[in-house]
Amino acid sequence: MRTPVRITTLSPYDARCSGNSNSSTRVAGRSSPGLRRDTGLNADFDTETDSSLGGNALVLRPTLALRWDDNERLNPGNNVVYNSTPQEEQDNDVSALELQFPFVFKLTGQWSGIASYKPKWNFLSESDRHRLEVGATRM
Amino acid sequence: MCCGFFSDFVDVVDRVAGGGTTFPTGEYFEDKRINLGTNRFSFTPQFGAVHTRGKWTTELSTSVSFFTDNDEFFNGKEHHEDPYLIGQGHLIYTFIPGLWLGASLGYGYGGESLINQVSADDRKGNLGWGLSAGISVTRNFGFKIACIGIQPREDTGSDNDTIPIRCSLQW
Repeated sequence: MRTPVRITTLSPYDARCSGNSNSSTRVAGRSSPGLRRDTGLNADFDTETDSSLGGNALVLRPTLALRWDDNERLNPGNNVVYNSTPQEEQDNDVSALELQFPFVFKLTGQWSGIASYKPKWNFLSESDRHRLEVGATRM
Repeated sequence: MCCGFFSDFVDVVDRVAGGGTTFPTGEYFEDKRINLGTNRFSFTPQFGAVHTRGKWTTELSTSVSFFTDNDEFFNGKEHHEDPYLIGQGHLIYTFIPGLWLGASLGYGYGGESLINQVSADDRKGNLGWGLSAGISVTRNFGFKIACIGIQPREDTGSDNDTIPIRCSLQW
């Protein structure tokens, strides 16, 4: 559970406010020896005292993450996050689904590769956005 | 309300103070050495500031984690952990929109455990640093490269260096 307080100085405009509080609950475990799962619920509570600094809505984010790790060379997975406002919030309404498909694979003893596809659908504006990322990491 | 050495030329200063709490809701068995839960509360007050002036952005943040005792530790013992302090700073220079360089430095200190009032001699002292650069070739295509290092300054911790390289395409 987190509760920030924020002070902004943006000449000539100054603002001080308490920010949105947020909480996170998660349940993690294994469905089988090679399958890890993590389900959770994140919530942003509308506790901001200055509407000019964003927020202004109760936003719920149920999440689901799965990882298969029974192969030491390849570690695929997927993440699902649904952003929603359970109450009518006028201009601050949110309804968006984000998916992520990360594939981490071992190249050599020091190098690993990652490929990730991340689509997002905004149901209110009926728009979608896609992001493809590839990379390598040396340890 | 401005602070810092650029106070006459400040464009934006943003300061955030906050706190996080974790609850002992994770699964915990007194007779197991490794558990999902820690069977204790932790409280972490935090303070951070972002200072932007022209093409320079400075970020500073610090936090201290306090832990309650776990009096149902393995084999009926009591586990105490000292507060753990983290401080970090980032300096970012944006040449043009989409092309930036960043440097980071951080240090974590404390967190020594006492089992039944006897020190486990596991105080943490980790120095972390990073250099990173990002470039957007087009509005939808870009690269990022970084070099990140962690060096333990105490007897516990791992010494490692990581070089992540990423390119991303969005549509």
